[in-house]
Amino acid sequence: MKHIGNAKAQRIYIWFLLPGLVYVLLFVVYPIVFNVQLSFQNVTALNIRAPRKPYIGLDNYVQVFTDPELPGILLNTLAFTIGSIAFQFAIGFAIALFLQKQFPLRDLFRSLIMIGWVLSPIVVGTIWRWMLNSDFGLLNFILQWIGVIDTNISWLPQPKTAMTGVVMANIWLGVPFNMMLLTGGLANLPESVYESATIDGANRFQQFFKITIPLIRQTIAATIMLGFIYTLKVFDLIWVMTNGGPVNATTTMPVWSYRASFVLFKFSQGATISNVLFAMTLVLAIVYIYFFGNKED
Amino acid sequence: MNKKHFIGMLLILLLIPCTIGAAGQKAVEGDVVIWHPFPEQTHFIQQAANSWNEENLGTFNVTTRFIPFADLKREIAQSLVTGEVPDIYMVDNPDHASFAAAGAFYDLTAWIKKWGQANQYFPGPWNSTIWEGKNYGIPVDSNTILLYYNKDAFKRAGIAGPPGTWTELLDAANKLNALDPNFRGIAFSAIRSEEGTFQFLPFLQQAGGSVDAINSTNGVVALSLWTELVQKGYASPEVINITQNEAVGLLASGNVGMAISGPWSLGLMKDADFEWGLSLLPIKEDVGVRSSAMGGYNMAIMADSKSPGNSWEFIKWLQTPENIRRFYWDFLGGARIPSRADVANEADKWVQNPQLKVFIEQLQFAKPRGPHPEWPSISNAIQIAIQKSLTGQATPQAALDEAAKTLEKFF
Repeated sequence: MKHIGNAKAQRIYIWFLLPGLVYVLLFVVYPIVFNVQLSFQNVTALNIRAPRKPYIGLDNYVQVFTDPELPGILLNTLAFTIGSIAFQFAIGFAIALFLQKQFPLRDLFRSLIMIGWVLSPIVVGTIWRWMLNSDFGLLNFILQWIGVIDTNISWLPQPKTAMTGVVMANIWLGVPFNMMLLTGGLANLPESVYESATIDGANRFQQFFKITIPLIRQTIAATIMLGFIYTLKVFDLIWVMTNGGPVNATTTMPVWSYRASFVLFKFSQGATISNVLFAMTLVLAIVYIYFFGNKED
Repeated sequence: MNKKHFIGMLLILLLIPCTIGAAGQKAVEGDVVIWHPFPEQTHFIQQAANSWNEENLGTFNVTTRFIPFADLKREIAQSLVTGEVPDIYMVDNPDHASFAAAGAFYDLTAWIKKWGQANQYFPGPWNSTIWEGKNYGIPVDSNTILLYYNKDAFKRAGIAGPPGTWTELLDAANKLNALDPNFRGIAFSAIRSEEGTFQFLPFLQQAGGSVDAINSTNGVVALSLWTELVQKGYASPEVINITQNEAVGLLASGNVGMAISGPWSLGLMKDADFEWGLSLLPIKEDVGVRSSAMGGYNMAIMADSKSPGNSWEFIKWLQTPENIRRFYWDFLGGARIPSRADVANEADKWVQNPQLKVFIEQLQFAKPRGPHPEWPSISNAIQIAIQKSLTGQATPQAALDEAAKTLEKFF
């Protein structure tokens, strides 16, 4: 950032910052502080209207960290996040590379891929729920038709396959986002580097691994980081598809938090879980800012 | 596509969701705002509010706001924190106790005494509005669940009539299942939400079990029946993921022979291209107890309401026998059954659809859930047990033992 010349101009700039600052304080900082406060109290349906809520120190955190459900839910969260990102990134990258080529209707194709990103997760979840249906789902039909399976798979009702089911839906939902960010990175690559590489006799694979990947390293890291942050907090898609079930097979941290707050009315427990999730995301965000935040030049 | 276009498109995409946000309804002083979970044409509340507004010009207006069932409780909980509450909340009756215990509802005890109509109501629904001896609402309508069945499929499978007992139920499910590889015997809802509990409780009670001793032999027998239906393939494994309406949807589209749901699903059967019927839930022959789950809605005035007096005026007006006859019986031929016994007992005179009479018959055996301020947690433990057993992660006995351990502290 360029330094501002004189003090007067600097004062004016402060006024430009004000709206953003007020917004952040009101809609970002306040809810976070409120949530932290909530996690040190014991607020349930029974005392939500009481003027003073009892403070119980770290009890909520102790309860969450000693909950027998926690290890399974953390594993689910990890499986969901890593499973989603690995495929979202790979497919998104492949499509981004493909869309680098000039071909008829390319822009139309790109716009169509974006549809997944525009659709609400509720819609996507509902559609996938029916596609994965045990009895008349499209996916079972296709798999039987090409001969991969003999009998229908109960995707969502089986604890073993339920996670695969929601991950598939989330991959579909997240591919456009990955593709878009990577397309942006690829668009800035200088043509001349590739020309000289071709002259030097580098083949396509060498060009990809030796030129493309190192040059868009920043974009790749940003895509994966943002992917982690977005995927960790996915809630609506899972809720629509399985309610976090069967039993807890697809319950991730956000689903657990929502269920505590708005199904069981244990608001403080829900707040505590979401604070733990917030801490996880914060660590990732700090890593991201530390390594890549200042190098965007 | 150059960069500018790209960013422009991105902005448009980002703005679309912002424009869809619901506009809040700010009421005029004295007006009454009702929050309810009924989509258009599934409840008479909208018509009743419109009629009030036309007939009582110059007093106050009644407006209704639809919030989907799955979101309504959350919205109410949030409104309690912010203080932006509606005046009347149409509350699902098992939730009534939690909110009353939390002090969220206006105490109507004195007004109800003066009104003097309390003894006209069915005791089950009426008791769901009472907390620690005080009145916190009026039961508005009641419902219960029944067996919907495909008469044509029954004929093809050579089954004489709807199953009256559990043995007949299994037999019918088996025969229907054998009709076609893509056809299943029965659909019900074992979903991980209140709907799953709602459907399971009648079976539990018919077996002689109860929530406070859920892992008794009787409880295990009930869960074993459901587990058997799924494990033998008479019901799809998807039952742990479908709502009651979806169960009836499967029946209406010709994918199953029987489905369990309440009167709110009747509209879905309109397009069914086969003969269908309704029947009381089959009972367990050696116990002989008839039971069904009691569902239904109460009207509660919120403690923070700015017009509790007007809200009470509207509720009294809606609950006069003339208005019950006018709104309830006209609506879908009587699909919402009044909680006022004196009017409900006139059903024969008003209900044209013979099938609806089955609902009224079954309602006599309907048992309320709770009232218990921790009902959501109780229900959650039951849902987990159902899902564990139906997906084969635990035997019915083991699943219910675990539930009983969780439930210990509530009774």
